[in-house]
Amino acid sequence: MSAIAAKDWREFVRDRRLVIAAGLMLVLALLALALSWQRVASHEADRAAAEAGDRQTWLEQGEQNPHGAAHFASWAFRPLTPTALIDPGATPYAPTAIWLEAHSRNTGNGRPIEDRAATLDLGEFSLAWVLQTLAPLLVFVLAAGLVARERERGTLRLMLASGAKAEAIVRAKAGGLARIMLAITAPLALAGAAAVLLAPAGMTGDQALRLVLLGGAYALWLGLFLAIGVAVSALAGRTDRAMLVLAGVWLIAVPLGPRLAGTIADIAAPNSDARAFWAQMDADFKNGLPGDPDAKTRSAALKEATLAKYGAASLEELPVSWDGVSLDASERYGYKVFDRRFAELHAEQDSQRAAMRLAALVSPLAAFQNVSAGLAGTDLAHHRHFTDAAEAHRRVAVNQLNADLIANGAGKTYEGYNADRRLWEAVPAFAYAPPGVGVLAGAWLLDLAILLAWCLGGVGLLVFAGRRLAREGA
Amino acid sequence: MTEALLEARDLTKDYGAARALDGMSFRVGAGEILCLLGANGAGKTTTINLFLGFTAPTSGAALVAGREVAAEPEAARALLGYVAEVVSLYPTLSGAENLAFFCDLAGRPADPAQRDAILARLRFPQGAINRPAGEYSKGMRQKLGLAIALMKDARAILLDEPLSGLDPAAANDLVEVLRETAAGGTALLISTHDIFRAKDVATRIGIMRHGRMVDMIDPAGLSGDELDRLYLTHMAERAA
Repeated sequence: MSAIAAKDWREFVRDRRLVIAAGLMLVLALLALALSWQRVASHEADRAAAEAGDRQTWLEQGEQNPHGAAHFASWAFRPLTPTALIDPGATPYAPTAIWLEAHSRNTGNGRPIEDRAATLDLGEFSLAWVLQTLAPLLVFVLAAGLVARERERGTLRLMLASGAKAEAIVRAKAGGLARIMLAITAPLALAGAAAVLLAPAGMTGDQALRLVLLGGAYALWLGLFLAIGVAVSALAGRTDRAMLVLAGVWLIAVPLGPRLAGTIADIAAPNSDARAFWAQMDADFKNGLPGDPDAKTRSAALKEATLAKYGAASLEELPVSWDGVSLDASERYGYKVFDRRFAELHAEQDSQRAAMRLAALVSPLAAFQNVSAGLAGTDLAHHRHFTDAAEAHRRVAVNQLNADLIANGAGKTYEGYNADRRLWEAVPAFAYAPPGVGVLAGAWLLDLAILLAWCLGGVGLLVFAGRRLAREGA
Repeated sequence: MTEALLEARDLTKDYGAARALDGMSFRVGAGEILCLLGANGAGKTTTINLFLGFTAPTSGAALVAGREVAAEPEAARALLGYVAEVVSLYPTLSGAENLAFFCDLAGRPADPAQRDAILARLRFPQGAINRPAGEYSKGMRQKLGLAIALMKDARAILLDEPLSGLDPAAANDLVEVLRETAAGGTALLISTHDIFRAKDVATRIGIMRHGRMVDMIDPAGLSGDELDRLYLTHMAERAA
């Protein structure tokens, strides 16, 4: 049946459909990559400059008490990996810099997603956007007439009469369109790969693996629409009817799916109010977490335990800084509160994600967006990994500063002891290592399974279309 | 009669409440040309579709070289050639590419020498085979359609109104090749409403009315008066 695929290729080349489609996609892809490049390169340049300046400012802050330094603090900047050029994922809405200071687990300033709706409903303009939204439409436009037009112009009768089997015709049509789509998307893939390879952040083995996996995921994604398109063309009988059906499928699967997912998530797991979230944590500090004593009782118990530990009768007799011990205990209780409340927040986000998957029943894009962003390292799980790393670093730094105050501030208030550059240099700079692709795969494996289920469904529809064509003839 | 390459056994086809074919039976052996003659709606094209397996009979059977089409449509089609009333070709492909494509589908890659010989027999304009098929006249398309069927070396060829709308010269070219083809041992089943062309080409003429075979005639013994009577009885009557 390679004759059918070869014939279709020849027709697509001769009537210029191939050139027009490939040209359109290439222009859009190059434009998207150029904009992404500008965005990522600008971010990376700003990050490098800010990181260097921030460290310098930290080291040159002069003599001051360690707790003051803990509030003087520093920034944690998130590097954008090269695959963010392909799919920015949640990056436009998630923080890329977090202020690290004592007592607070800052979340950084993410941009509310609602602010983007007026400019680009379907997401950030990127190569992923082109392949997720426009490429399926292109596949449908090319597929609509593949079998239906053969029927309309009478060549399907001649094909069948010549000895071609109906199921084989449908399979060959799908294979032929796959070849055509490969020709259309190959330049896009090459441009994307080149951009990733030349990206400012530099290439790593993990990034190369992500690139390959992204290629495979997008092949599955377009293969799904290809199977649906050819099957509908075979089932619809007429090109205009097939086009109408496919336009409806595209509208539901692509523009409406993610919106539906958002609505389902809002209903199933509404967002917590940010003010209530922080107020709850303030209350937790003051009143204690369920089962814990309040702050006043905790402080009294700490005082008693510390005096007993050092065999001192009063705070003045302690060989360590009471302010330091008190600050350290308060900080560590804060970690407990943060861990609990942020775990609840993350559980809420996970519930939203799970609820959004319901939309994947009608829209594979709802699942595929997560696969793509997960592979690109720009999904919510990767952002959470970054904020967790920043928080872990904050704790290391604050603990180090408190330990210095405890050891060296005996008999003084915390303001009465100053540390110098030696301590600042001892506190390590924040160095973030993005996780390997397998580390956070749990966040998107279910979505990949959903996509595979859709693909199986698409193949099933293709087989059904072939059998019906065999049964009903031309 | 020699072995029946095409056989209709009490062939009946209903479309809902409408009966398109009503118990039709005939046999076409090697070297025979059976013309099914009838007005539009008489059931000629339905008969051809049943032999091609494009539709299933309500009852009865269509057989190609003894194979029941409904049970083995692909095996039956492998033995058949088919020429439609309007031969559909791919307009951006040349005639040669169209021909090669359908030969490939039939599992018999086109042999250029055989192709040129067949095109010469059909008086296909020299050099036109490499022009896009979108530029072809109807006569050229019909000739290429027949060439596709002949390249297949089919044991039987079904032709649905093959001469409709052709200029006399092109029609004569086709008739001559059809006769030669039958003489080579191929069975031909031709649907037509042109009684004069039917007399010209057929070895037998089957008269169809309202889905029934009402008469089977040997055209060799048909006089001009009888031809007029047949025309008036079976063809002109539909206008009444």
